[in-house]
Amino acid sequence: MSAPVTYEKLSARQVRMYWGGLWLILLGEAMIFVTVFAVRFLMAQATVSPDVNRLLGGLITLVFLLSLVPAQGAVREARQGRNDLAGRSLGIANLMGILAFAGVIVDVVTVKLDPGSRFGESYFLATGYHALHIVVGIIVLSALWSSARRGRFNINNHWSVEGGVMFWKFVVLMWVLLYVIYFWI
Amino acid sequence: MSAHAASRPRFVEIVWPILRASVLAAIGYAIGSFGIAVIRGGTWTDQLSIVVGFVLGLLGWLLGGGAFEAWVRPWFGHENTWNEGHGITRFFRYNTDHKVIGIQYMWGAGLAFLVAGLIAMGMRWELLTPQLDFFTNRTWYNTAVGIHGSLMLFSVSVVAIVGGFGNYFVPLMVGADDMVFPQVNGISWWFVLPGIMALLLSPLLGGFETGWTGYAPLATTDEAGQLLYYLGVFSLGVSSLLTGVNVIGTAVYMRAPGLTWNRIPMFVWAMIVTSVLNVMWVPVVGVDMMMGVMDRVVPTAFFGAKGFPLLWQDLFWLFGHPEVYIIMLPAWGLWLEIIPVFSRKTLFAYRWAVIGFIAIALLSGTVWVHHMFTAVSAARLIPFMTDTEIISIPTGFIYLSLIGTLFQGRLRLTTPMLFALFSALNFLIGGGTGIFLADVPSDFQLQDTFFVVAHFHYTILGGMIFGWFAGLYYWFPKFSGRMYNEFWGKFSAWWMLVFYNLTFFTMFVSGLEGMNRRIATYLPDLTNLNVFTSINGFLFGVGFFVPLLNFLISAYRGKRAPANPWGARTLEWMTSSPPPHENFETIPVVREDFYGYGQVKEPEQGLFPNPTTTRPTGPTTGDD
Repeated sequence: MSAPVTYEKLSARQVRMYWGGLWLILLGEAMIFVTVFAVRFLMAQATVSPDVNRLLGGLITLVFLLSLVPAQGAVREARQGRNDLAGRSLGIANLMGILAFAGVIVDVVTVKLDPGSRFGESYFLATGYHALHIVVGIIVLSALWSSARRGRFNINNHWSVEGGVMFWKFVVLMWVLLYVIYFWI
Repeated sequence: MSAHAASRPRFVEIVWPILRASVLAAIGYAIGSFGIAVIRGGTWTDQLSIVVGFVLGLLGWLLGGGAFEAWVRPWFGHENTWNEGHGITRFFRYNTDHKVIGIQYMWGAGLAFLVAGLIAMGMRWELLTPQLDFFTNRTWYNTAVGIHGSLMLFSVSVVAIVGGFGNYFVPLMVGADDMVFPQVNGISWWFVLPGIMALLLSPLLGGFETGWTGYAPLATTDEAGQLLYYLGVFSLGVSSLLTGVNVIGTAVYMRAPGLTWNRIPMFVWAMIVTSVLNVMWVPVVGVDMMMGVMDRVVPTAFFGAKGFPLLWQDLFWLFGHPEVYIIMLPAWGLWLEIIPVFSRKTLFAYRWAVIGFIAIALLSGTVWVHHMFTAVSAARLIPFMTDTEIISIPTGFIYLSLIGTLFQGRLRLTTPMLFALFSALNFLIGGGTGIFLADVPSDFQLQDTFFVVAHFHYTILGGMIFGWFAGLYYWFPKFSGRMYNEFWGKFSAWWMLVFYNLTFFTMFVSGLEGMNRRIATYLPDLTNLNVFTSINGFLFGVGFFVPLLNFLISAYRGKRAPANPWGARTLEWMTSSPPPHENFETIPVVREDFYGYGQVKEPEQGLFPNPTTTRPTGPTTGDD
């Protein structure tokens, strides 16, 4: 492996345009979730099946929300160019993401919903599509963790961490909405 | 890697990334489909096996094309070891130069156009006689209709100008050295070929009978070929989405100094608005495709007998009608780019045309039910009829700008100008006949006839494809560095105009006579009209080989193109033909608006000038 090289300095314009691009991608993603959530109310109105596991859903939500603490910590540390600490925080956030993902898998496998029912099909559509996002989020956090371990981030270039963590926040926010919409309302 | 590449024979050097991508795609597909077959105890042609195989195959294709070295390794903190190639090798591998990607898109769309066009010839051959004879059964005819439509819509119409010209010319026209996200841009083209391949290979799984709109509940009873339709369209949608994000970012953040919002070239405006539509609505049809896949593999019941088949239509057209504008807006941008250049006139009503673009984009999401008039409740008819007719007003702004620019211009009827004018003419017929389809009572009579087929071909083929050719001829000197043959260019324009109209105008007549669309057989008294349409259709199809040969021969033997052969003023003409890697040697600074052609400094004259005042007779700016 070649010697660690930190990323080059980003100009203020580059940072602005990276953020702009990320927001556009998140806007497109949000359109998908809006459509998916709308389909749920169209198919099953506001009814919630009594078979959903609110406790497990709540635990997953808790793990997701707690994962934001180390994720945000990683952003703070990367801004100061402290790769070792950022790497550790990213690793912790990643492990919590994997734990939440495992929870979602357990939920989808054990929930006693008929996938052919009006509520069941909306439920599997939403959780399935969100699970894809969790997988992408975990890959992103792993990549950032790996880069931090190689000492890539510095005071002048830590955008990847900021952008990656923003994506993770989006994943968490969508889960919270999903939990409210599919488990309670 | 580059050391290895240098030692290889040249042909191998050109094709090895594509070869590697294909091999990894095949391996990915095999692992996915056989893996699921083994785990579930089924076969590798089970629907879930196909889906997982497609996903892993797509992943293998992307990684093999260069994403492993250029994406995965740098993300994980390693060095980017990808060699982006040089010369012709650049076009067959992952490359981040927007000009290379633009040409990759143009080739991809061009090949899809050729294949889909040949399929159309097959359909016209079948319709020479009232009974089924060329296709062995109706499923194959319907599948041909579906593949033709899906390829033309999803991999030509929304790709050729948006992906091809959008990638190549938006950065050049705003004076940037590349797109905002060159790496995202590089990968976006690699989603196109899997989408095309999925659609083309659908006959291996029994084809699909639904046409390009994939209507449920017919789709739920179709063969597994329907699954490849969902997956192919999804893959093509990802490509559109990524391009959309890049175009908006580039136009917003990478404009040259002095290029203020009220100076942005019309084509760039059109691309911005198109890209907003892409980012907003492509995800919606993505959800539709996911639900279609889930209905087959889980199985859920979204669109089956227990579900809401109409939901498919709503979600499909919620994207599908904005898609019409995703197709047409870039072509309109091209008209308004080309016509001032060849009229030597200031673009008329620039701001109104931009307002027209934006108003169309806003309204485009409110008209979709006019595709479903015969399927929805009466309460939904009037609002959507009204909205649909309102959208013709901002469309009129574009024509206003076009006619105002032509008025009293000194026209140079070169090939791009001819194609732009013909495109405007065809679209006018398409739009005018659209009023009958937006109107509920006449739509009830005309739906599912060839009148509809003629109408949308006038807008998409007559409007967008003619516009695409206008752009190809206009920018050919820029991206090839050579001039095309003007005689054969004009010949192709007239040939295509004549045979296009003979083919498709006849379809209005046969539609009014009761010719059904999407059905291989018809009543014998419609034979003459169909034979006439088919023969002209073949001649129209042959006409496309003229520009193909013109471009191929000119690219090697044409006269060297100067930097600005048309005397145009937009930034892409301010650099060499073809542009260098970094586009401009120094960052351009924009000091005046781009459309001040032939501006005459003189007292204002009325529409009917006083005979005692002298009209200007020649150019005063010397830009001609």
